[in-house]
Amino acid sequence: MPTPNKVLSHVHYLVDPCIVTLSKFNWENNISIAANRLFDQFAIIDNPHILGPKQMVTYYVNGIHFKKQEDQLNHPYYIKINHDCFLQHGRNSYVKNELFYTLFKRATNERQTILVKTTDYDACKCVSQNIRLDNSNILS
Amino acid sequence: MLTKEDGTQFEAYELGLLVKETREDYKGEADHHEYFHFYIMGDFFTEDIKSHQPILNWTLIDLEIEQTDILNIQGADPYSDEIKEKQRKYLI
Repeated sequence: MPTPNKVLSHVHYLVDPCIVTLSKFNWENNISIAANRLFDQFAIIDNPHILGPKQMVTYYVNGIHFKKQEDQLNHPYYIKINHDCFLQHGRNSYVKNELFYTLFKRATNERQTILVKTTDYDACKCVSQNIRLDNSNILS
Repeated sequence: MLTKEDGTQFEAYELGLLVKETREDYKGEADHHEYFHFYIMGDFFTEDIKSHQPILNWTLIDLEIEQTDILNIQGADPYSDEIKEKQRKYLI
């Protein structure tokens, strides 16, 4: 592949190296990534095939709005899911600029679609305050 | 393998590749742009920075590159036969 003439933008984000180092040979299959419509936020899902005490199903959200200033990196928002569940990226044709994920419960064979809303970007003091999970839009 | 400023080498992992399409000024098939977003993760920090970051001590880079740049053709019609041939050669 030829070298590109210019890179429009490159931004660094903090990540946990465990999603790659703990599954050295399966990380390509475990990790999936999705972004919203404007590509200012992205979500990483880590679904390890072999779950151990240090490995859990994890959902990361990070993006440009998590950066407080140019030279500061803020921590991503992440949640860890129980071992009997796995996650998948979701989409919605009505709310296009938000991130969705679907939670599958293996034991009861249920699924739940969850919308991740990131509002109040400017008041970015704590990541957990900027994101609220809305469990009200359960599709099925 | 990549090399840091202090000379140490490290591995970088590409987590995914997404394509962004912008159609704000959409008039026809050739009036929208495609941007490739590469998500590359690795141990980019030096040791002094990692000493202050015990857990989240790797970084992920979101590289945004326009399609015409990555195919090394400037100002070409993205639906021309030449572009389609390069797409088949490099991307498929």
